[in-house]
Amino acid sequence: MPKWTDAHADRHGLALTEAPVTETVLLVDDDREMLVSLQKGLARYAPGLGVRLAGDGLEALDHLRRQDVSLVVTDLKMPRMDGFELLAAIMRGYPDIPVLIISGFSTPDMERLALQGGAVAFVPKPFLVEEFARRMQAVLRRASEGGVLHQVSPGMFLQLIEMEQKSCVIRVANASGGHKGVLFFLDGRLVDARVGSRQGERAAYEIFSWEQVSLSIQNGCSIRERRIFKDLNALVIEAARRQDEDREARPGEAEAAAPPAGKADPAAADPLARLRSKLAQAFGAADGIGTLHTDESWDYRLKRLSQSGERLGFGKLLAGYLAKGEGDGVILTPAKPTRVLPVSPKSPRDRLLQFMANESGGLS
Amino acid sequence: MTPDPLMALAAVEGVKAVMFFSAAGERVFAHPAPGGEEPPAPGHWAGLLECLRPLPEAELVYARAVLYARTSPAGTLIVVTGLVAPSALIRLNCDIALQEVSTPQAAKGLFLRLKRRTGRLGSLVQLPDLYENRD
Repeated sequence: MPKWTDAHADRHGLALTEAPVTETVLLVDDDREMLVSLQKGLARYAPGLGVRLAGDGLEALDHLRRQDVSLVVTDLKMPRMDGFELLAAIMRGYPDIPVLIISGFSTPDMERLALQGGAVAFVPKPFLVEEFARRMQAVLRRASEGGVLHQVSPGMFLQLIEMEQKSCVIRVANASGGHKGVLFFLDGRLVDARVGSRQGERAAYEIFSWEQVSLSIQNGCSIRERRIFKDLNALVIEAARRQDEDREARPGEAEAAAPPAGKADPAAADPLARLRSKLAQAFGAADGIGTLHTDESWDYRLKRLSQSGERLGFGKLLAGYLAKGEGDGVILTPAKPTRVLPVSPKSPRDRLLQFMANESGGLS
Repeated sequence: MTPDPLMALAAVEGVKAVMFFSAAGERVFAHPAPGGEEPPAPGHWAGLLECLRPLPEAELVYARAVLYARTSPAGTLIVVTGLVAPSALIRLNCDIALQEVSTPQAAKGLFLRLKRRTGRLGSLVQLPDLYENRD
């Protein structure tokens, strides 16, 4: 399985950094003294790490519903919900969050069960806090071992992941809203997503509606349940459509968010600008794509192609790619005037054509 | 040109029809899916070919079919597919088929072979089964 490395990033003109995103660890134990001493020890040996405390599994799940957590450290024997139940609940609802088990009553069977259940490590008590902190940090580093990307368009980057047929877990942070989400890729296919306790397509749509994000990449994906079956491109397009619908359904908010008078947002008023914006969201700065514009000199030819197709039983013409020689061409959608997207051989032509066809209503 | 590369093209999954029109606009090869409804008048292709002729390559997405066209000095090759088809494989097969027709002798060979087999040009032609979803 190819790993996402600097070489991949260089090839796509992206810069990977080593900087991890802010991390929070959730410590779960019914022994309050143990929790507090571990918290103090981590403050000394792992400064900068956010620490939250929970007294049992139920309390821990409540934390997970309300907050972003990077790692869970849990005891096994606890009242109400024990460590094994908590581990199973995390694997179902938050499969990207690593779980580290600590226990004073360890047996080889318990250790085996914990690791089979999805725990990343099993640490018998007692332990040295310094050593434990090092172990925790090693687990946390895995979350961004593939690098971190700042201020990127998710649509563009995720299509690269698809192209590379990569298996990875991508943690996404939306700079403007402070939200975080996770995407799970298996052999380049998006198989699940999570934002808070929302999972599957709903979570993916939310993540794809974020415009500028930071991404941290963890190589490998050991997801146990596939929740997304749609094509990535279809999801990105549907997310853009939902975003538009949402904006139209809440005109008050749109007005409030609008730029001051005299500086109207061109994307809101102009269908061409809106289509440009959707294209940018779906394809980012992909190579070989020119600027979408209109050109009425194509109107007659497209009208004839559309009429011919209808007479032959193919239905309305939705979009067309026409080569102009030397490999360059244009993707056209029927409108008055015709919408023209120049493309070169480097462009993802098939996907662009499908995108433009989906966006087109044809000529009536 | 032998019809084999065209038959290989017609065998690609998702391909509904393959047609080759000579530079003069005569339909000299067609491999339609069986069981098509009453075909539209042949003249309906003329308008489409006229629009396509100056273009070396075109791909048109209609509501019910996708039409891929390649034009060479010998004529125009048209492949009709459903909305989902392996476009890269189809393009590759078109490259191979067009290479075979790139010499005038090869194209002439195709016409003569078809003429011998059918007695006249164009009698192999039957329009493809593209009308099942008409609404």
